[in-house]
Formats: sequence, structure tokens, C-alpha cells
Amino acid sequence: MDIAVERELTVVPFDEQFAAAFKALFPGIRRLLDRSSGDPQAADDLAQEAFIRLYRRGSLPDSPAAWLATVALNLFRNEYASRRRRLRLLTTAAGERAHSDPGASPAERAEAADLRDRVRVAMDQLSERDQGLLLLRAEGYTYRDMATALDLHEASIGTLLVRAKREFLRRYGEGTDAH
Amino acid sequence: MHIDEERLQRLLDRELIAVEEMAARTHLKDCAPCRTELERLISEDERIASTLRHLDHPAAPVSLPAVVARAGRPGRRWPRWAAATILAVALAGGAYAVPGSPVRRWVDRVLIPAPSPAPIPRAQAQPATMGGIAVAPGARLEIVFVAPDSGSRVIVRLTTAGEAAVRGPNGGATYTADVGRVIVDARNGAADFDVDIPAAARWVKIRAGTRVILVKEGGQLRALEAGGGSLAGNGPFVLRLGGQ
Repeated sequence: MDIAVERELTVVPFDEQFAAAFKALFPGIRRLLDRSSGDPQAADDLAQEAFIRLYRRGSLPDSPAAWLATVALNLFRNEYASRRRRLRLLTTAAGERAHSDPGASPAERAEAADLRDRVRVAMDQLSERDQGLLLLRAEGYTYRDMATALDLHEASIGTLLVRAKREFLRRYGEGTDAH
Repeated sequence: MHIDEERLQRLLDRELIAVEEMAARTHLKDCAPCRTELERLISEDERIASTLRHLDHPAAPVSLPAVVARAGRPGRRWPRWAAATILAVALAGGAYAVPGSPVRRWVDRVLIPAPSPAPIPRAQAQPATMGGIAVAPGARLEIVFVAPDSGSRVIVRLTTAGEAAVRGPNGGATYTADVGRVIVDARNGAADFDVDIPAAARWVKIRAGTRVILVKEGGQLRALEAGGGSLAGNGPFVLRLGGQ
């Protein structure tokens, strides 16, 4: 048997670029969807679907992070937003069972679930735009990428973000005070 | 005059241009109220970040080859241009079929004088779908190609991924994983296989049958030629498995 060895071209193939993008961006896109939907299974599916679309695109866009966030949020909006409340009601119990720390005591699990519900209620009271701003910023997106993903003007992101933060804290504070 | 909240937020997010940032930082040195306001924003950001973490569920592991395999699966959606073309052809066909339609006259005028029908373009071949396997490299990993003289090519790369992966066209091979070993049965004929080896993997060896054709030593790959020579580096390397 003859084994010939040769150098490959130095151009980085798309598969390799895609693999790097997947490694760097998948956790954040999945987390963005998890936080948006409150449904970990939906987040898994939609995050994979966003990357499948990127792979089928055959080349990386200028900003893969912004492109993926745009696609992911559109997928979520189209397929889940209208059913979000119902999905949350249907899946929270199962999700909590599947994802709770098995070592936690019942009291600790109940407290974690209560906290999650309070944050979710506060988030649900925000506009879709404000939710997107807070969640994308939490993932470290630049204002430019946030503007691309949410179809906003980059120059307005700072002002909108300040308002979104204020609104979220007010809603969350109300929920916390009520307890 | 104080710095407004939006500008402080942009300062925190490193979204001010250099001149603006320098001016803001200079102002902050001498302005206690603005510093207090900045500290409030920092604390607010930390509170929001920790609050949002309450929403997180643990993520199920998702492997890159699984996503790639799904992306290449047949039955994927048609591209928009293809759907639009089909729709346009269908509409034109419908219009042609209507008695007295001007479309029929236009089409006949164009087609009837033609000496021969236009050649029908061949449909483009669909890209082959990919299959494969991904495993954690562990302390030692051996990748074995069975029936190595099939004329296949094995393209080996170092990657930053956490898992070692072997990919090839669907139906080109069968893949099985054992402890510390991946077996690629490539008896279905010549094919190209991609092998990704994590740069962090401690020890990896690739065999073609009983013969060692590549080892990962430290941070480098070393491809071993049949004549005893070798080539070391970060790759990628193309290992041709052919000849008798």
C-alpha cells in the first residue's frame, strides 16, 4: 500500500470556518433562545436550525454573530412567539424536572423555580425589542450587531438600552416587592 | 455639565469613539456625581446579568457533525430562487394553455421558427450528504481505517474543537466507536474523509489497516510516509490511501 502525503492548500475551507463559528457562537445563540423562549427544548431545536441555515448558506456572513441572532430571533418569532405563553405553561414543569439540580433540596428547587418565574414575568412584560436588547447585550453583542439583529438604527441603541434596563428593573422590582 | 446616562452607558459598553471616550474619562476624574452615576450603572448591569442567569437551563450537548449531517440531509428546503422559477414556469404554462391567450402567440412566435429545440440544461447534482462520528479524544485515541487501499483520501486537520471528528459521504463508510478507538470501515469504495483532531488532544494515532499513517505528537501532526519519511506540522495533510 502506498501512502502519499502532501500539503493541503492554506485557504481555510468553509467547513473549518463553520466549525469555528459553531464552537464560538452556538452556546450564546442557544442561551439567547433559551432566555427568550423559556423552553430549553425549543432553544436546542431553533439554535441548531439557525446553524443549519448558516451551513446551507455555504459562506460566512460579515458578522456571523449578528446573522445568527437575526435568524434565531426570526425563527423564534415565527414559530414560537405566538405560542410562547402556552409553551411555557406546558413545558415549565417538565423542564424543571429535567433540568433541576438533582442534588438540590426540594426547598432549593422551589426557590430556583420561583426566581425563574419572577424574571420570566418581568421579561414577558417588556416589548420584544427591549427583551432583545437586554438579551443580546448580555451575550456581549456590539451595538452594531444588536442593531442588525433587531432591525434598529445603531445610533439609537444606547438610548433604547438605557430605557430597556430601567423598564426591566422596574418590572422585576415590582414582582420582587410583591413577594 | 454632567455626562448623560446614555453616554455613560456607551462608555461602559465601549461604544464611544476614542475622542469621546477620552473626554468622558477626563470629565469623570473631576466629577464626583458622574462617577457615582457610573458606579450605579455598573451595579445595575451586574444585577441584570445575574438576574437573567436565573432564566438559564442546562444545555444538552450538541455535536457539530450532527448539525452538519442535518444540514446536508436530503429534503431540505428549496432555495427561494428555485421556488420562484418553478412558480413562474407554472404560471406561464397556465397562461399558455388558456385558449386565445396572447402568451400562446408570443411563445409560438419565438419557438416555431427555431430549427431545433433548445437543449435542456442538465440538473445540477446535489452535493453528497455527509455522515460521520465525533468523540472526545480522552487520554489516547486511535482512528483506524479498515480496507485502506480503496483509493480514499483522508484529510487531517488540527482544530480548536473539543471533539475529534471523522466525516465522510453518507454511505461511504460505517463508523463505530470503542473506548479510545474509532473504526471507519471504508470498504464501499473511494471517498474523501475529513478528520478533525483537537489541538488539545494528548495522543492521537491514525492507522490505515495495520499501518500507522499519522500521529499527533504534542501540538503537532506527523504524517508517516510508506518509504519511512515523515512530514510534521499543523497540517492540514492529505493522506492518500491507494495502490497495493
